[in-house]
Amino acid sequence: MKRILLAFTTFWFAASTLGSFVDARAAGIMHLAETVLTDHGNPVTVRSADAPVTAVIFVSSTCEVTAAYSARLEQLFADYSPKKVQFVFVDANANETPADVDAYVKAKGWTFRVYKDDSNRLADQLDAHVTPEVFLFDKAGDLRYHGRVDDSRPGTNITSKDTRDALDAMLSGKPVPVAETKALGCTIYRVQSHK
Amino acid sequence: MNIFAHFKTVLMIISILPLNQAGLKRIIASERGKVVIVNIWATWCAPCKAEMPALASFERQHAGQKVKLILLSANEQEEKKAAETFLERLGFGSLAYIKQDKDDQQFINAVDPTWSGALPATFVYDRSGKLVKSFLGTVDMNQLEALIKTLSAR
Repeated sequence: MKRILLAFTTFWFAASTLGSFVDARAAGIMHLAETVLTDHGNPVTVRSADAPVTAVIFVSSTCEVTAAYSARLEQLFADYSPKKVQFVFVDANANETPADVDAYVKAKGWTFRVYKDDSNRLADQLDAHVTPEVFLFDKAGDLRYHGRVDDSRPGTNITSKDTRDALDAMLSGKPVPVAETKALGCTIYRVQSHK
Repeated sequence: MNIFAHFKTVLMIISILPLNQAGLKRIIASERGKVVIVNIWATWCAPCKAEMPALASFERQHAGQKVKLILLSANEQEEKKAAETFLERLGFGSLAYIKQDKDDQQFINAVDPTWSGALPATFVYDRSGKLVKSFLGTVDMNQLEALIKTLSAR
């Protein structure tokens, strides 16, 4: 009987721990107070305390989905930077060099910088796997939104502007309407898989 | 006119059929007794296209065996022609499909709730139709072959 009770307790503990882990991203338990990325090899420290909202957005210079969202990302930056949103565009793909990123930023006419996550430390910490992928943190560094930019890759039939809705809610002190979404996109190529 | 060249062109024409999440489940269930591999790809996904020749070769090697490869394009319906043209060039012989669901999130979660939505993605179902392995990113063909061997022996 003791064994059964122990097994049940272990199972319950494991299940509840897993459950809280799975819910953590959406419930805002995931935390990002500070991270270090690189800009042409030079370290750049990002602190969530520096802005009411920090938007970490993973992009790629070879992904056609990032390309499809290119103008919308630029518009997002243009619309929300004046509202004190700190944008952190990140390229974590091991197969894309800073020179590739520079050429891409120029070709797309982006006015924001794209930093490299050379060792995938940030991508691993946030469990980011796809581009484009958005993480919104509040000033305390708690994750408030994770997922897609919106629900239409081609941009022709957008019915849900998830990132904008989340940003508007956070800036006005309201709960984020939908905290977790998913979208089809390109795999982030890890350092390990590129070796 | 070289009639054989003409035949070859005719035989390699692929018609990609629309498929929703319920349809995918039905197809996997209908292939019970076979190991089923579902590769989800798109014409906008460079690594998906890069791994396709290996999958075409895999399909030829396993022809006539109890292994079924299902190619499911994550393109939009308007991009169907581009997907068909790409598969035709590689000489795929099996039926191919294109995602019919408009809601990508529902589609992703229906295939595998642990899947982020990153492509390419390859899902392996055992002979009872149970999902046993998800290859997220480029599929490791050696691992896939080893898994097929194990699942086929069960």
